[in-house]
Amino acid sequence: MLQVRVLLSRVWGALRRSRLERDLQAELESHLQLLIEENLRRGLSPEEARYAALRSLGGIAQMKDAFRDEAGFRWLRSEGQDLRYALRLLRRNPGFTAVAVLSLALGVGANTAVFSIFNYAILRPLPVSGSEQLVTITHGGKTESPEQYDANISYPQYLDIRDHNPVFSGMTTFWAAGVLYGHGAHSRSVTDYEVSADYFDVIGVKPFLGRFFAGKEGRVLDSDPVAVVGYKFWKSVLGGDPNILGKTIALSGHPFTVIGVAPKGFIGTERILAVDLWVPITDHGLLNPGSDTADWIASKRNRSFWNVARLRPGVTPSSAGAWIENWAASQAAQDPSYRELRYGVGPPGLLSPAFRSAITTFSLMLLGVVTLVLLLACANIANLLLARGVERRRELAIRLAIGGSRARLFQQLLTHSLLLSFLGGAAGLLLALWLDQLLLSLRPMFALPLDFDLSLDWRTLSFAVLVSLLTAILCGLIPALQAAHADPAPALKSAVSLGEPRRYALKHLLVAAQAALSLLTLVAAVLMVRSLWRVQAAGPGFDAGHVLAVTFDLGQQGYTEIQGREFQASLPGEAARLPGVEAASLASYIPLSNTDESDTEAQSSSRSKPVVSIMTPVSPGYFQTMGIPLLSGRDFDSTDQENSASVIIINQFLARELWPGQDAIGKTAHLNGTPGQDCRVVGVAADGRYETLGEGTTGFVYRPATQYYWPHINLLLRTAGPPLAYADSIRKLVSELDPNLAITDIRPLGEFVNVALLPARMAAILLGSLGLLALALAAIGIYGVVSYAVNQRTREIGIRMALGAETGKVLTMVVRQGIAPALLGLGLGFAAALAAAGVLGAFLYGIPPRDPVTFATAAMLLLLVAVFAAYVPARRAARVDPAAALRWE
Amino acid sequence: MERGVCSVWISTGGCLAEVLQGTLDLMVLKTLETMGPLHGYAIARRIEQVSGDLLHLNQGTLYPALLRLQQRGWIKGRWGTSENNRRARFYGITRAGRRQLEAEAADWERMAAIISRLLQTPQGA
Repeated sequence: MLQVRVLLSRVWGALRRSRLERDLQAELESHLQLLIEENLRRGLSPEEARYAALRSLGGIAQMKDAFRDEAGFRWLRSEGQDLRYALRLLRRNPGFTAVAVLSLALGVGANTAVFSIFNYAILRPLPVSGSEQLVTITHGGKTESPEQYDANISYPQYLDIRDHNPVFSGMTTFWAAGVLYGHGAHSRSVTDYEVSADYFDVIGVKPFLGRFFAGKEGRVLDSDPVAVVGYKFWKSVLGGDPNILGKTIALSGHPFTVIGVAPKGFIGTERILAVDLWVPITDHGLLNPGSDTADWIASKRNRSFWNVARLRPGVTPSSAGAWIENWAASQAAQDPSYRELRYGVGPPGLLSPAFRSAITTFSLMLLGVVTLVLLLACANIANLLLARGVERRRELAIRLAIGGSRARLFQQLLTHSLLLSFLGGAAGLLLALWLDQLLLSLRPMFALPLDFDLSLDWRTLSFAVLVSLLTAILCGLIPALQAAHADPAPALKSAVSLGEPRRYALKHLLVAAQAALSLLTLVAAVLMVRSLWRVQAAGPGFDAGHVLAVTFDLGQQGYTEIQGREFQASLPGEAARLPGVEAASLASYIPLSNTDESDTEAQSSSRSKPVVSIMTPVSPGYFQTMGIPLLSGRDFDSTDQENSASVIIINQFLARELWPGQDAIGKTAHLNGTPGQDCRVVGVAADGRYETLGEGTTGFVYRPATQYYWPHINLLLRTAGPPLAYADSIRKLVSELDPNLAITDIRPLGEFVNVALLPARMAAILLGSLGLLALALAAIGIYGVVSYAVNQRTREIGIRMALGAETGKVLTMVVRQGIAPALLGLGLGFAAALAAAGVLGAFLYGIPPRDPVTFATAAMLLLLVAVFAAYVPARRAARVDPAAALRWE
Repeated sequence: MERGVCSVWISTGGCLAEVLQGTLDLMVLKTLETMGPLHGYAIARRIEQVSGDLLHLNQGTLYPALLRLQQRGWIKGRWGTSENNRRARFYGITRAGRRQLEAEAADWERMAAIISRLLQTPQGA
């Protein structure tokens, strides 16, 4: 009880320190006066009286200290003092402070930025209640690891699992698609989820307005079409209308009644996909004209549905996974396709375990590299602090000599580096937020909309604090220990801080570490840059420079097949007549556009195994428009009509696969499907990249648009000038042909290529900048150490030169000794890079991770920089005037 | 108490308070109990007087001791005016302080009795 009372008094005392000090001062003065008066009464002179009074009172400074210690908390006071002192030190050395805080800010900021992305994608729980109970059912090949599985199933599978399982309290399935909202010229593309009836119940959210699907909605085909809109969509597109319930919105030209608004922040279970609204899966046919809902749902081969299931209380994911495996095994009896697959469960949120692994691996790799950079910054600062410690040896020695404790000194020095690190950390946090905003603003437009919510949460904040703390300890611990435990005697004896340049001093070790870390970063950087070059050099296989792509969806617009064919027949001709348009054609699939493509299997009599190929209908003039060389044969022309012989043009890869060593022209290939078709090859086109820039080659089959009707079509125009300049004239043309036809998208083809290049570009830019940063930090480190050594050895150098050493020799000696630790580090870094390079293999195109040219380049770069960094102060050494140096004190 | 700072000297040399902890606290409490509220100077003077000037108080160390006693609730301080119209802080003993004084005085007596008995025991008796 007493202790508590004392503690509380101390807390109160700590808060009212100034008041207590004033009171004490007043009391002491009054006490002193009384003593003086007494002494005067005794007959002493005023001077003596005062003197005697002061003597009686005793050591005031010490007493005040003792008083303060009792009044508050000693460590708090001393820490406060240290902080103020540290602030003063930092202000007095603005150069050092700026460099240190900047390097730390860059290191901590980069780390925090990468962590916040990793945090959002992987660590944060889904913004739904009980998200730990949610799983997704996954499957993959027998040889794949579960991290590579996909998560898509068919609707019949969903029904089967949902109705016969003992492990899930509910299961839902859904499909994402783009759909046209609105009418005519004011329509726009939005993204929706088509969901099973129990979607919202299983996931566990409550509507913000209205209700979710109930009754027949989602269970019975052809019930009234209803929609639940997302919060953002409701606010921005529907104007936040409070009376929205019951009103209709037009989706694919059909009226859908809005029955509810989803809660704020809810965008479904997939983290990066931002959907605008939800419709029942039974309305699929209304949104996708030409598709029969019943067939689409019932098809066992249609495995395009994602799924989420909620575990029953007490059921673990592994037991659910075991049940699913058994279920799959029992299916294999009737359906042999199950034999090749393994089933399991995984966490939802990132579309599939495969995608999740990709993101995890990339973020971790990035995190690894930024950590290297942070360590480099720490090594620099540690070196700086070591140097400062040596400079202050005299001051610290005096302190120790007059009675300061080593522990106190250590505390003070550590506080200095703590303050530095927290300043750097705070600046780094701001930098991280800014970097995140930058990343968000660079969001490319993929075919599906992406969204990140990178706002600060406790995890990111704790990470930033932890990293700052660790850097404080890393940077400051050893210099503080060294300085606090130095022997004060030698420092007091001489005015100059001498010190034999020990061969294996701590600072040399730090430089070696810096060189090693720098080399690691450089190797990664050069690998990424070269990878980007390779990708760009390979090229997409078509000339994207002057092509404009205009997208329509005739099916969603309500065109019948006959109307569509007519439109497709006339449009290219009309477009080609526009001024400035050199060529025009149609294609259903644009390479690298990240949209769905159609696959087929092509077979020939010379080869038993069919080759999976991408297939697309195109109109005559496609190859000319796209700048794809036709290697042999002819393009499609007016002789290839609906009822004439089926013809195809294939790419060179497919030609070689189907008829190795022979001329493909005139041969017949069989395309599998329902129905299968035999087609005659009339042309062979050059290979290109079709899905991603980094892929290996695939087969490609072009069919005439007249023989293979597809409502989703792109008009491609080769223009004389910049493609976007022709957007208006094409819009006018289309509205003349059909005022109600909506253009879903107009963009230059080059944009697709840029998007496809984006991962490689981003990696190259990120790692390239980190590599440069690492190089700069290592250079600063080496420069600092060599410069310091030169200062130390000025006298010695003067003596050498006075004894006849040549300038050149002195130069060489200094440089050689300066880069010796760097060379050691280079060797170590080289070995480490060889060992670790395999990690980067997944991110490289067309270049092996242990590429010798890369390693050689990185090593050379570092060596050059190290030599330069040592050379500059070495020149200073060479210019030393021997006479002045000998007098150096 | 900080080492190296002596609160109470014995006139023949040597530091009393270094050897016996809390002596100063005890002396202050007793003084205030006997004399009523006093200010710092008066307390110091009184202690020296009562000891027959055999003790010299390092008067500065009084104040940390007074703070300690206040923190424990054994004395209470109040600003007032002294005899010669000076502003001074007067300290008075509290009820808890009286209890503490009783307890400590009892301890002291016991201690003194034990030691004196030890010192008087004849050898081999």
